[in-house]
Amino acid sequence: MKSTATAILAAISLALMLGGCAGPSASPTTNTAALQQKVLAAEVAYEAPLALAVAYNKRPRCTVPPTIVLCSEPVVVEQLRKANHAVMTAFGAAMNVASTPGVSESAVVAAIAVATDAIGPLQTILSAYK
Amino acid sequence: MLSLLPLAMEILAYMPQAIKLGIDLTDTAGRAVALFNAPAPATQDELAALKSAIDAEKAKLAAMTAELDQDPPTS
Repeated sequence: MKSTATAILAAISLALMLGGCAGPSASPTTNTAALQQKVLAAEVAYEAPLALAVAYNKRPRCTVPPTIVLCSEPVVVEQLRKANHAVMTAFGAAMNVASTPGVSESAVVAAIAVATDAIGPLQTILSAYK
Repeated sequence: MLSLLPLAMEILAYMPQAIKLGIDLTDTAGRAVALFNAPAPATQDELAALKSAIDAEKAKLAAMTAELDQDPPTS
């Protein structure tokens, strides 16, 4: 139990440490490919909420008094942008963790969890608008 | 152990809104599930294909982020 918690903490620390690294992705090897492929699958799934956020942003901005039925609130757009940047940073970190030779699956699972947890606020924001 | 269920649920959760907005998520869902279920790449060709897919996805998400970060034109 303690070792699992330690592995998760180490993964999160590593993910945060590497999160700012935005260089080209490390080439997959036979040791890292399986886990990198899982992170890639999670990134592809993230396209779904991100596509909705982009569609919302493309609406004309809401004005006072309201003149357009389908508009986007500037405050909501800002929240979506902040949430997306947090998710993108977390996915970058997760891919870096998965690219580390010898990394455990639990460390990658924890790093993916950091990214999917970061999607939470974005989901909340998206579900609030029609 | 990584599970496919949260991934599938995540995409399904957006389907009603996507349909309303006219966005088709079936391709996204199909690609995510296929990747998740695919066997780990083992040959040099498969590893190179994975590297290309990782880089392509990174570029796609970066382009979508740029779209999100750009204000719509005012009329």
